[in-house]
Amino acid sequence: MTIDFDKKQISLSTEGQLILARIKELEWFHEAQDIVRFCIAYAIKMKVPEGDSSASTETKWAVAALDETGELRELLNTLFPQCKTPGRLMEHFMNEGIKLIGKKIEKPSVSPSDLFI
Amino acid sequence: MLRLHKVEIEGFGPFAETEVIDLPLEPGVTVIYGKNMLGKTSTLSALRFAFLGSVLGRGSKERGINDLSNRKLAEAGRYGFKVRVAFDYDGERYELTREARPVVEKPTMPGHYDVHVMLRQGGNVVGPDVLKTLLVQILPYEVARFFLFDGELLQEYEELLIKESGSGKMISDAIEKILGVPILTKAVSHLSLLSENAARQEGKEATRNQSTAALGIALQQSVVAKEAHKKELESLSNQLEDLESTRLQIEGFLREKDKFKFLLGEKEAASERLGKVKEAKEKSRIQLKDTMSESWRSLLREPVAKAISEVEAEVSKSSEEWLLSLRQAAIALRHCQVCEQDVSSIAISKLSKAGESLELEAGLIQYNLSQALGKLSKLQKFSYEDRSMEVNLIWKDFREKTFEEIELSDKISEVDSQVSESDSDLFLEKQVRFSETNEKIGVLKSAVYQCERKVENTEMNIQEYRKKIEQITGLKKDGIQEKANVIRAALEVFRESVERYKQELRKKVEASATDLFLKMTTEKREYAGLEINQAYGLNIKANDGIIEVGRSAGAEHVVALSLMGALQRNAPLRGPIVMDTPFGRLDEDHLTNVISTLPSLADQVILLVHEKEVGGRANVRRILGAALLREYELEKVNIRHTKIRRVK
Repeated sequence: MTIDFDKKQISLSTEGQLILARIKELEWFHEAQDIVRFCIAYAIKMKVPEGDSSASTETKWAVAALDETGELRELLNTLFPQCKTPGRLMEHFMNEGIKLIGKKIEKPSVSPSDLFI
Repeated sequence: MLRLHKVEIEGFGPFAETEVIDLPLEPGVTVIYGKNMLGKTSTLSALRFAFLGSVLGRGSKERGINDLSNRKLAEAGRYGFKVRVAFDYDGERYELTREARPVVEKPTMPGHYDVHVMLRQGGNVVGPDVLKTLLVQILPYEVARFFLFDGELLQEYEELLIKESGSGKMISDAIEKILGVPILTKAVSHLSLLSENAARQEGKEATRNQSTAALGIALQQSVVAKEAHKKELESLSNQLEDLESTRLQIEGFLREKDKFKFLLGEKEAASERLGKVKEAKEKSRIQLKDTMSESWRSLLREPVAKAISEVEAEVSKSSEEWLLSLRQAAIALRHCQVCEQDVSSIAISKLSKAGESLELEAGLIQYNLSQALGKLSKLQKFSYEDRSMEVNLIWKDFREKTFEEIELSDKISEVDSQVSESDSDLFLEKQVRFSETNEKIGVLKSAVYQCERKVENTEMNIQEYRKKIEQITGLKKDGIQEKANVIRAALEVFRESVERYKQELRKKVEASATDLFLKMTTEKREYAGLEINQAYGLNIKANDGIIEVGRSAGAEHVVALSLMGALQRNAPLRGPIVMDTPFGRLDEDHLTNVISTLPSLADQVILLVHEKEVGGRANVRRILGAALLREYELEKVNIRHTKIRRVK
């Protein structure tokens, strides 16, 4: 019998760390946590399939800190009822989402509006 | 009269090689076309260098000789330049060569050059003293402005209308020089000297007679006193002239720097605006961050809306299944579990519809419905306001502020590059010096006035003593007294004649200038002509006799050109008019009139222009017709090398 243990801390991939630094330079967000939430939502919008992209770098966030009200986890449970590990799912979407946004911001005259298209 | 035949320029300005301009012998116009920075001003400067040994830069400031050497040659280690001019003056052929030769390997200052001048008169080289005298005679420094000028110099003639203007006085003195007035005023001063000598002799003679001895001594003393006052007056006048010249230079500098004052004002306004823009931009940035930080919700709008739609369908299906299960239970039990009523046979037969069956048991159906309703509730709780439009607007505003910030920063940098801090300090220093010089001039003028009164008073005393001596001794025929009376009378007559002559001269200049002005103006019906003042300033007079005030730069140019032409017509000193880009401020109609009047301004007119300024070569050819004798163009080889090519 396999027990799925969920993550209480999620970690950004090495590639994700580099992209995060570039997004920070754009000065579109107040904090890194705002960027992470945005990346998670972006991955969901872009219909990234569920998965597990476990990473282990020094760039970590507590799930509870990212989702203080529990709203995001509840939403993930609702949208992805089969998934029993919303923390892992958040980590997966975070790493996939930041990769997609990284590609978008490669364009020279990218604007924040481009991320909503 | 001065007439140019040939100009050779070598190594001067952009002319790396020897460039030759052959000028026609007949009266008419020669045009030299050139785009900006190809050498039009350098051509004019070369002539100025040849005749006067100096070159003026912007703001009429003299340029250092080291600045004039061609840079392409300098790169190859070759410095120095030469200008040769062949010309006729009063029927004689001359050739003037002025050459700047470096005395060090790499000259960087004016002092690193020696200037050599040679003048051939009819093929023979003249000595240095004769050369100096001739050059002053042919084209004196003070009057060169009437022959060699550019648009900037034309603007200066409005100074003639400003009383007490230093540069106005300088220009009017120069005008009198060109009209030959100094010769007459010098003659008056010589006669005055003769009169004083005669009075001195009278005094000496009177001391020999006991009855007139005291008067004789007093007369002699008055003559000595008058000489001393005149010497003092001369000294004060020279000091005043020096100070006025200094003031003129500072004026020129400040006029040039006035533009910097304007730029500094612009910089201040731009800096203030930049501060506000930066502040607004920062606010925009914070607004953007605030909005983007919540915008993750906008991204989930579609997925959540889709999920809601799916769950609503699920709820609908589950609700139907639940209703069906309730109906089937009512049929089986003959009792409704909802309203707690027994169900009649008739009702049962109605409820029993053929083919209705449930796949799931009631408990599961209830569970599914409850789950679906739960899901729906959670999804509906999620706030997913669309903030993408807001982000778009904030971003647009942010970008606009960014562009404005860049524009303003560039403007400030540009001003900074033109106005260094030292310029600002120097500007202030010159302003202070200008005030001080003005004050000193005021004091000196007062001193000059006092001295002039002293001269007048001593002269009155001299005449008083002379009269008394004459009363006592009686007038002896052929005696010293009679001689003094004759000289005195001649002096008075000559003085009055000079004043009358100057008046007539002014009227002639006025008439000639009016004639030229009416040819050049487009308002021939509205204007009566030009009116001259004591300083040769020209006012535009309308038909109703009212003087036009606040003239535009274009009007100033037309009036200045009228004055040039009038001086040429009335002066004993005549020569070519060489103009560098003089038409910048003229509209199309005035331009046509001015171009067509050029042949009337002087026998030889040389025009240095860019084609756009004159409406193109075809326009010039059409307007001037046969009066256009020759055309040249300045041809660019590279930024440091221009050639002069004759246009066939």
